[in-house]
Amino acid sequence: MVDEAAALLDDLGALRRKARRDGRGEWLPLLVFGGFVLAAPLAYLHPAPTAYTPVGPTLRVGVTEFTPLMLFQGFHVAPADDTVVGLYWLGVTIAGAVLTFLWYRRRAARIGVALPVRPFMWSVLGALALAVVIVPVVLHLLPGLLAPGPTALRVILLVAAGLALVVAWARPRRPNDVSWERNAIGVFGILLALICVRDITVVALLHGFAALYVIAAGLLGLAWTERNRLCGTVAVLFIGASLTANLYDMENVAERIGGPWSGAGAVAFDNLLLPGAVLVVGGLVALVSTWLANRRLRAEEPTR
Amino acid sequence: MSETEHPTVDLDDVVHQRHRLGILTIAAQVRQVEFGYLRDTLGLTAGNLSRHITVLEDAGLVEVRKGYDGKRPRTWVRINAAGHSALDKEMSALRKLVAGQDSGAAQGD
Repeated sequence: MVDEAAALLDDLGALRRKARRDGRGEWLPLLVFGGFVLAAPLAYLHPAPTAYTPVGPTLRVGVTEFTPLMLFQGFHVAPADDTVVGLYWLGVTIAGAVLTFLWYRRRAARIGVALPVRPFMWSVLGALALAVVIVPVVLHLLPGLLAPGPTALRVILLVAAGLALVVAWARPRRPNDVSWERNAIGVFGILLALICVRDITVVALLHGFAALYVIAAGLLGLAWTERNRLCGTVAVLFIGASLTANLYDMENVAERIGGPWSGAGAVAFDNLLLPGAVLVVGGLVALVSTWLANRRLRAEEPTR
Repeated sequence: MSETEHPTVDLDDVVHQRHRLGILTIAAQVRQVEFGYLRDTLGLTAGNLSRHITVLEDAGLVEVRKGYDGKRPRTWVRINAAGHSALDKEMSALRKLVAGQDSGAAQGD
């Protein structure tokens, strides 16, 4: 009986791996988002800014007025009222999310295995809501939040917010497990993060590539959905690349290595090359690894 | 070892069947799995698979949803919390059984 149990465990392990492998589809979302990021400099092809004024398309909701695209525009790379840049980033994050959702739905219908896409969708939409609605509204209603406070306290709150979000949503217990406790912790993390909105705003507004953080949130959700190491690794590398793009002047690096280009489009390209490349390379590696795994499976089938 | 401590006590008659365990194992990895995929992966006939799914559904371990993909009827199987729990318990019992044999063999060396 024990030998049967051991053999059964082996067989069940193989079924588990097969189901996960058959459900994999991360290569397309990675390539799509990578393509959108690398194409973004085209939206910046205009003269460099001379001054920063956080304007742009303004929405009035009741007595509240806010500029939803302020985090997608910034002042370092684009003119502050560059609606094209803001709408481009808004458009590609939504388009990428919708394409990813449709892709996984089509794969489920074709293959017969449906991965939980909701973590990805909630991550993207939640991060988008934070960037386009919540942060601009909070900044408008509570401008005092922009006042600097003790750095140590702000760092502690930011770390606590990050930990809360990770505990809530980074480690799935089961694909269909929607725990209200986890969601409550996640909401608490978001509220903590809002207290640190000044830091978030500074980090996001410095270069105006906050959309990269929205995409990064989506990738974390995708890594949760896929539950594979490659996806998780790409998500972490992309977060690092997004922070670099938003906080470091990569155009200085390009200038040192002798880049001949100049202008806002070139500056955008210098800063977006790394995050875009992470996604494209990650997507290509995922595509090749999926193809190799399927080929191995087909080669094994006649011997079973 | 007394009878109450033996890992086989934890084996559930509904779950402890090779094909039903296969159904639960696959369903536990994804949001839901289609009937045809289960049939092809487990190498069962449609009738046989249907009987096993019915047993699991009657035991409250899976939910079955019938729909259409265009004009093609599709049946989707989703494991619920009770199914996850039953599967975890069964896997734990199987691992204890194997571990007990391994440690017994080691002591005998």
